[in-house]
Amino acid sequence: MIAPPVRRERWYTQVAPLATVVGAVLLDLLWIPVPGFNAVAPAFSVMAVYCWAIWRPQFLPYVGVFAAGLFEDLIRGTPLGAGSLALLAVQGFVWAQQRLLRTRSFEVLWLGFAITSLIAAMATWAAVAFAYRTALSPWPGGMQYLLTVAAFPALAFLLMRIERGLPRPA
Amino acid sequence: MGTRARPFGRLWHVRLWLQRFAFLLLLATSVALLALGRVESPWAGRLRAGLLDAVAPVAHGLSLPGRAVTDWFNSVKDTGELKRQNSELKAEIENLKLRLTAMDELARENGEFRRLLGVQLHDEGKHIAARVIADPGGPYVRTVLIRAGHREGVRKGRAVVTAQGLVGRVTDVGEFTSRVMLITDVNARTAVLIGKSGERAIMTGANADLPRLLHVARTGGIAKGDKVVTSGHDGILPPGLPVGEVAEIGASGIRIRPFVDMQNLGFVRIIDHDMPGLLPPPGEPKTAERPTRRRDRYDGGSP
Repeated sequence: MIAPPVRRERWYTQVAPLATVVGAVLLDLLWIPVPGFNAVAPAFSVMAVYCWAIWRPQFLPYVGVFAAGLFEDLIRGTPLGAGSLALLAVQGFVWAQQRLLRTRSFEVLWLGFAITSLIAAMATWAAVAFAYRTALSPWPGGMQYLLTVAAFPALAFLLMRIERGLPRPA
Repeated sequence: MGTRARPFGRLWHVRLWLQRFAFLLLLATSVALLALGRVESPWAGRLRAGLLDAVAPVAHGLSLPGRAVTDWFNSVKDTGELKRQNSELKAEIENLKLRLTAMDELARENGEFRRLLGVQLHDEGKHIAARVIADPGGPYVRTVLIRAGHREGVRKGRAVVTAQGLVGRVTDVGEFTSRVMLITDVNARTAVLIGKSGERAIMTGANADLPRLLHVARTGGIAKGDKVVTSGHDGILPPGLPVGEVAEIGASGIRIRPFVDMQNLGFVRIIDHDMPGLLPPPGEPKTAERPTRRRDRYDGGSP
């Protein structure tokens, strides 16, 4: 039996998903001149992991997502492991619901994101509370969740443009 | 050919198995990191500090549009008030000149008395000015990044202030960037004195606008509007820094409204101040890198 020839993907096809996730993490540093906004700014990294886990899961390794989560923790100053736990939860949920989420309907994609990001928000809250050994108010996280869901179409549109610009997988 | 393909097939199965378990393994690693996060580890500190420098140019670039908008609004707001402020300031300068002369005389007298009594005051330390370049904390952390680090003389644990009062303290120091934990962060602990009664307490952040007081021995003498200053009993922050005023006294405790508007930080100053007898002298490697129970938490000493 001869193994089928393996098509080598172009380097940017392989790099694009993780690179955009890292770019989304760096968006945390964006200064929005609205009082209090930076504390509840949308979680762009959750959006990026969600989209790429659906569209190009083969180029979004677990280790890469884990590393991006740690990177986010180091930038934000949150306890190490909180960001990686949240992003891995997103990837795990998408992996479990792959069939349902690989749809052409944007409404289903958005609804799926609302559920996925709720899981991510809860995972973050639980992780930080565990690390600090104290019950934190869930309201700032809840507000961030609402803004993240509301902002999803904008970033998803941008990521969709990038994904469509990449060569189709073999 | 079939026999030659088998080893690769086996490898493929191993890879698949590894992929399936990698997810669980990484989840477990995340939880382990969270559990271990309570212990201060030097490598994590170095990694955080190094990363601050690496992301500083990006943070600076991303802060520029927001800063430009803020500066523009401030300039529009200020233009209208310039004339009025100008005449007010001229009058104030005249008053201050008179007071300065009197204060010079008092300072000279004070110095003379101190010399006679042999009193030694704490060194007030030098101030390092820095611009706030990012506010990347998110919902569960209240921190800001500032553009000053080891190169400028910033050290871990130093007090960060504005003209209005205390902002927080330095928690991570890179070569030219540092992270400041605000007094509103849930991990912040500040030893304070309250109002005229001079009651001691520990102020803790709540990830909200109003920090609260802990361990207040007597609350009877505390009233709304009482000023709160640092006591210096934590052995980290210098005494007498203005912190805020009592905003609420209720069943949920006493809440403090900081003098500094944490949402609108532009420039800050870092006080390079050593507490004699409590911290090792500057230059020693372990000055502010003392192992703590947790990375960001410090107990402010007994009130």
